[in-house]
Amino acid sequence: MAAGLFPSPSLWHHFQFRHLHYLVDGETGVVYSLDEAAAAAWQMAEGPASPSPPLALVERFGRKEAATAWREVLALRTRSCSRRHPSPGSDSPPITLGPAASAGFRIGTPLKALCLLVAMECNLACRYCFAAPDWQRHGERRMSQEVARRAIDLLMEASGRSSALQIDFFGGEPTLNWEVVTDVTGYAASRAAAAGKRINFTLTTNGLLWNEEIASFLNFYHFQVIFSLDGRPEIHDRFRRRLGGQMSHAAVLRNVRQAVQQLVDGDYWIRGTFTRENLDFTADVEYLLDQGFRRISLEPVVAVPGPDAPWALRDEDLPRLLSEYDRLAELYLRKAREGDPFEFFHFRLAPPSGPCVARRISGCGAGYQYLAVTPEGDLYPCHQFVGREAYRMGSIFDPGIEQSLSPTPTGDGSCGHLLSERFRRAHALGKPECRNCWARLYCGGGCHANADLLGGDMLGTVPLFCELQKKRVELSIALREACGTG
Amino acid sequence: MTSASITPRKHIRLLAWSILRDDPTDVNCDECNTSCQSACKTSCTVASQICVKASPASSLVSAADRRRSESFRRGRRAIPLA
Repeated sequence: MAAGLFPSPSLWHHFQFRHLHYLVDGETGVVYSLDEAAAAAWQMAEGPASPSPPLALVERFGRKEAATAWREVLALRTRSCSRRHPSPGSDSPPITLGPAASAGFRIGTPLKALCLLVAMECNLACRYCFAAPDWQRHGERRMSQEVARRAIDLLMEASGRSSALQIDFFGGEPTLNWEVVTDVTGYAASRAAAAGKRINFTLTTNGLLWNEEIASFLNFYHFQVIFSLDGRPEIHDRFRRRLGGQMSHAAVLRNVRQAVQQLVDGDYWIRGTFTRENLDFTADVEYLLDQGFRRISLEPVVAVPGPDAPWALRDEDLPRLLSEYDRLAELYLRKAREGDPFEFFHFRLAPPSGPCVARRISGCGAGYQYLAVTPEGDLYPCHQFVGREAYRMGSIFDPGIEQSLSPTPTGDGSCGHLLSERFRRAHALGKPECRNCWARLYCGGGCHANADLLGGDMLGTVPLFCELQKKRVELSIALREACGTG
Repeated sequence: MTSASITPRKHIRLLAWSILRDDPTDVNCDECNTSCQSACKTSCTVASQICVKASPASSLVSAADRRRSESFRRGRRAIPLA
C-alpha cells in the first residue's frame, strides 16, 4: 500500500491496493482508479505542468502511453480545479458543503438515542475494560425501573421531530439486570408507538447468561445483539477472565454460537477487541469465521500506553497494524470470491447515495444526538465519557433538562446546554485537524472520547487512531471495487 | 450519479461520483442510526451508515441490515404495548 502516512496538504488522496491505484477527492468523495501510467503521471504532475509528458514518464511507459496518461491527468487536475473554483463557462455546478462549511456551524439535530448503563457490574473482569474503573471507584450498581423509565421519558420529550429512536443496553453486563431490560423495553416501545415514533433496540453482552428466555425476548423486539468475543481462545482468555480468574472463552463461544442460531433476524455482530498482544488479529477473524460467524467487528483497544496497560497500542505499532489490515482485506476478498463472504464492520461502506452531508460531518452524535445514562440517572455524552466528571451533563431528574438539550427554535442548531453545544460544534469541519483531511466525509471527525482520553482534547485527534481509520476507509473503497459491489 | 462531464479515458476510470448530494433531500432527516450505537462502541465510521432514504437495496448492505432498514423505514416493527 503506497498511502502516505500523514495527511497531504491537499484533499486529494492517492493510495494503492493490489495492482490498482485509487485517487479520492476528499472534498467531494469522488473516487477514480488509475493504472500504473496514470498513477506515475499524477505524482509527477505536482506544480505547474507542461503540456508534454515528463521524460521520466516517457522512459518508463513509452511515448504513446505516457502522452495519453499525461493528458488524462492534466484534464483531471483542470476539472478538479474548476470544481473547486467555478468560473464562468464551467459546465458543472460547484459542489459545496453549504452552510456546514461556515465558521461556528452547529449540528441541529435533537436527541434520538440513549445508551442505558443498566448494570454497572459484570460477571467478567476484562483487564482492558474501559467501564470497569467506574464501579471499582463507586461500587457496583444496577439501574432501577424508575430511572430507566424516566430516561425513556426524557428521550421521548427531547427527541422533537426525530421519528427514529434508539435504545442501547450496555454496562457492565446488561443481562445482570434483565428485569429492568425487559420492563423498559416494553415501556419504550409503548411510548414510541403512542407518539408515532419508531424505535430500535441494541444490546451488548458477553453472552455468559444467555438462555432461551433472553433469545425469545430479543427476537420479539427485533434487537440487534452485539456479542463480545475476541477470537482465538488464548487471545480471548488472556484478557476476558471470570471474576475468579477462570477462563471464559469456552462458555462464551458455546453460548454465542447458540445465540446466533436463535436470533431470527440474524442481526448480530461478534465484537472483539485487539491489543498490541495480538497485532496479528486477522488470525482472530479467521478463527471466528471457522466458528461459523459471518458478521465480525474487531476494534482497537482504547487504553493509555503505560505500565498499567502494556497492551495499549503505541505509535510504533502503526506499520504492523497497517499491514495487518491489508492481510485482513486479502482474506475478505478471497472469501468473497470463493462465494463465502463475511462482513467486517469497518470495511462496510455505504454507496455514494449513502449518508447526507450533515450526517457525514456530524460523526457519532455524542453529546446531543446520543447520551449515556448511568444507574443513578446521570447523563454523559456517551458510554466512554462516563465517570469523567468534567463531562457530566446533569441528571435525567434535573428540571428543564429536556428543554436545555433541545435545539432552540432559532434554527441555527444552538441549544441551552453548554456542554451539548460544545459537542454540536465538534463536527468534522469544526475540528482543526479534520478540516483539511481527505477522510473527513468518511469518519466524521473521529471519536471525541478517544481524543479526550489519549490526547487531552476532545476537539483534537489521535494520530494513531486517525491512521487506522484512514486505512480502513482506503480498504473499504478498494474492496468495494475489487468485490464488484460499487 | 453521472460521469458525463468526466470524459472516459484509458488510464483513469471514475469509480464513484460525489458523495455530496446537493439536492433538497440533502438534509439531516435523523432517520439513520447514531454511529457508535452498533458494533464499534469505540470508533465511529459515518461512511458505513445506511441511509434509509437513499439505497436500502445496496449490495453492500447485508440481508439483516436490509430487513432492519426496511422495517425501520416503514414503521413495521412489531411494537407491543406494555
